[in-house]
Amino acid sequence: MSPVTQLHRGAVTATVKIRRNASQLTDEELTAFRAAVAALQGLPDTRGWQYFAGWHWVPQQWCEHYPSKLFLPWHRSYLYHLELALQSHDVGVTLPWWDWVAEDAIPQAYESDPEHNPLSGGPIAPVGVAPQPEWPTETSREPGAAVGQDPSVLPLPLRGRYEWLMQPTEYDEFARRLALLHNNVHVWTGGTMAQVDWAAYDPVFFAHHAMVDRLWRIWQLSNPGGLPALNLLDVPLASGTKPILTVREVLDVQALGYDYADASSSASGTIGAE
Amino acid sequence: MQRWTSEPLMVPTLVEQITSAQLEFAGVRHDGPSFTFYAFLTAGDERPSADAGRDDASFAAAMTVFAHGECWGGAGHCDWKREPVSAFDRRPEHHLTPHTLTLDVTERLKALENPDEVTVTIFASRPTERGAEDVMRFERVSLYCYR
Repeated sequence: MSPVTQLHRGAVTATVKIRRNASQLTDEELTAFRAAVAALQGLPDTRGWQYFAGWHWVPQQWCEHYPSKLFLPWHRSYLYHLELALQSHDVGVTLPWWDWVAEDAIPQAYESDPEHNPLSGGPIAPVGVAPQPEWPTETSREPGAAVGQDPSVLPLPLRGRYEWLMQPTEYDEFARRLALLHNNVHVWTGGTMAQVDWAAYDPVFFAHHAMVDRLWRIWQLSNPGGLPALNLLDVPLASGTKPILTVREVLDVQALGYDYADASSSASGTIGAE
Repeated sequence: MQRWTSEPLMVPTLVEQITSAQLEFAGVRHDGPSFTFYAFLTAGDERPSADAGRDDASFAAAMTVFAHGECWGGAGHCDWKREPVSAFDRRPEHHLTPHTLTLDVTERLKALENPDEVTVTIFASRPTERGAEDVMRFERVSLYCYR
């Protein structure tokens, strides 16, 4: 992964890492990412995949969803912590995004070779609680099965909704619209992803939410004053690993150490030229 | 599929003066499976046909509700009607407390010719159980208009 920006913090130069489109990863990048996910899936403790998946709902119940105003900040914090855990195994990996604005299917990176692909799914084994007989034990997907007979979710891609999504200049309305598209993709994916309680056990959850986070980042670039309500800025975002970030602390993705390919609106200039 | 039709709702101002119209559903339950619903707005005796979809003239808006599914805990875990146990109970409300959801219906309302009243019709279904009748459970629907 190549750096996009270098931030100087005291004597340390911090490299901002780039999240990439899941369908455009090089073989080397995809192999490294899959290895890091597999490493987490092999850990049974509080560094492992099952532990992080359990933050979302079963068993911790920490996620925030529309109409909560914390939907976007909470998930940004969640991805930040999971990405750091992945980077503990390979410092170069970042969470890829699933571009459901442009693509009509789950990325092949998450679907191909299911027998050997840690991104295609896996067990559901919440940490710290006794499993109940009726709980699912494996993730599942039914992509597109919710499309068809009315009422129906929107089929992918959601390109036709992009302009509508980006229209608001006020944070709450933008977040509401993004939450609705987010809901649509969860239910379009089907199976495990279609229920709040179990969704995060499917690895594609994090590619979906990286896309949600990326769209927020793109909107922020066009609406730099578009902030959540002031009384929310110092609200802590629940997580199972310190630091417990506040809303204010997740507003700037570069301060969290990442950015998105093709999301930047800045350009270098030459003062005094010509 | 669940079909539900409201009592007529008063339109509180002239349609041509409206800049924004919101349909607000209060007390929407989200303790069952995820579902999608369509909202249609009609005036007078007009109603959407039984197979109306997003391309129907009376279609106003749609929403997919990302819900929780079956309760995964023990008895009482999903009993959202709990009260604070004392004046010192600062815990947030139960996670399954029903929501208030808002749909923007400005375009559809402005397409109607200055009705005094409109009727809301809901079609709702779960992708995993198309025939279900109790898909969308809510307390109240209100129309808010802004000039």
